[in-house]
Amino acid sequence: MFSPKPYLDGFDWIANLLNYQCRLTPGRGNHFMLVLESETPFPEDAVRALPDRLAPYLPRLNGSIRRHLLHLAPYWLPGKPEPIVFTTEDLLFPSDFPLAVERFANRPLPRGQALAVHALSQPKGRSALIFKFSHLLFDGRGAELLLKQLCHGKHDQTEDRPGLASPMLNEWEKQFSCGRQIQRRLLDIQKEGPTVVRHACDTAASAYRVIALTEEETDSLRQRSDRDAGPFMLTPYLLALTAEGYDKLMPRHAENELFLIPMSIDMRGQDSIPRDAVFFNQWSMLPLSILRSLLADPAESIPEIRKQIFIRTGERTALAYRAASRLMRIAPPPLLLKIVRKMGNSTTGTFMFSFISGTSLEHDKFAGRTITNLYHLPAMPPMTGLGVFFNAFNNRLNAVISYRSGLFPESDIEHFAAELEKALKGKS
Amino acid sequence: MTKITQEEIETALKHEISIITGKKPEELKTDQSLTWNGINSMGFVELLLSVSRLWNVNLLDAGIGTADVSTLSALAERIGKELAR
Repeated sequence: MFSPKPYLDGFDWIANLLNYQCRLTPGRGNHFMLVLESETPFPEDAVRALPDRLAPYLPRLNGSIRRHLLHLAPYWLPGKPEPIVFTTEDLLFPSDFPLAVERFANRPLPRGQALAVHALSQPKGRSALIFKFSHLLFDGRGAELLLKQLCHGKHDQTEDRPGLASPMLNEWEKQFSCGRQIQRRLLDIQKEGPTVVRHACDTAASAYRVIALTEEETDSLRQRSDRDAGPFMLTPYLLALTAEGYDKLMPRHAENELFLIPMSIDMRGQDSIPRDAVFFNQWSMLPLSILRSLLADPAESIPEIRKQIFIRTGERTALAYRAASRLMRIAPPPLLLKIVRKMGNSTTGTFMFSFISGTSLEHDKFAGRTITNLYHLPAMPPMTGLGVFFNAFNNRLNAVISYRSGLFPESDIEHFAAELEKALKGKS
Repeated sequence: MTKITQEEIETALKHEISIITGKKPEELKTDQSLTWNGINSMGFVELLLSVSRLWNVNLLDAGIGTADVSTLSALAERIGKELAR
């Protein structure tokens, strides 16, 4: 069975590093939010019942990171079962909605807690339940799976498989070999040309733009993707559209400049990770590097992105990242941050990207209401500073631009969002 | 060289999809779409890599279209055609 100590994996340590990097931001940590929208306000009694449903999870949600006394491997120590903080807000006007979401995003999580919930209500119009998760304990897919459990009243924690059952300290050869593979790749990228990066101020707030496509618009987008990129190639298609828009936003300084895009992918079902793993960070990265000179023409950028996805998947790069990242767990986050800063731009990337093609909560009711839309709002760490995240829900696609304020003038972000929306809707 | 049959290709595809999606081979249906059988965007990349490894066929370079992936059976048929070239 599972060890009483749920050990942290390498990507949990990366989340811990990003959490440290975000310590001076208004949110005080590396968080992300899941927004569940409904056409009408969630019934108060159903909302009030949610904290009770969370009761079995409270020790874990109030936990913290500790190190083993002998071998120093980090693990998650459950804490006191303090109740989850639940807040509500009534909005007067629909235009207040995005501002209210941003306000909640920039509020720190209660000390030592990995989850907070906020309900936004409008008497006539869009209402939402917003779940704010700490990345120390959850990733996006795991957060959806937790809500699925809440939705269905399932609290069998023996099936949650929290963390690693062992500290994984006995496979040094594999970890170092994977570390060399990653290092070689980063060196190759450095040789290709200078990577375009922009870092935000350490104290900058989180900000978002959400582009929600209708079912018809999503269907049309899929048809264009099938035509231009091939069947099932929506990921490279969306990345090409995003990179093309971002290319227009960034000034060019050299001919051989490139975009380095750390594409995050869910690893459930691989590397012995259960498909239903709720807790901890079960994701990895596929780093894609694209010359800016290819980005203006999707006929050039799409095949290049597609080719790189195939090569990196074939090389098992994502698995190599997970194995190599285990070596980092010995270093405390302040030291790791110094190393990352010293290693330079190839370790952070131009912008983060991900596409979650399915959801665990499709066609479900939550707290007595039909969910009309669901999207993820990850907070970007100051280094990288911007990410574009796509998810599909009930045959509709959402695009979220997450960035740190001050990274660009707001008019530039408006322009980028408008151009991306036009491209997604096939209007450019 | 023995010619590989459509049924053999379908069986091999089911095995690969089973590994990728975690579904049991008997849960997979040849007359259903790849999406129905649990394949998503990244799963399809894995599947095409498996096809390349098993039969040395690069379907993306061969220019597959939506009709070729409409069902698992259609995909097997397309692989068969590429092998016959």
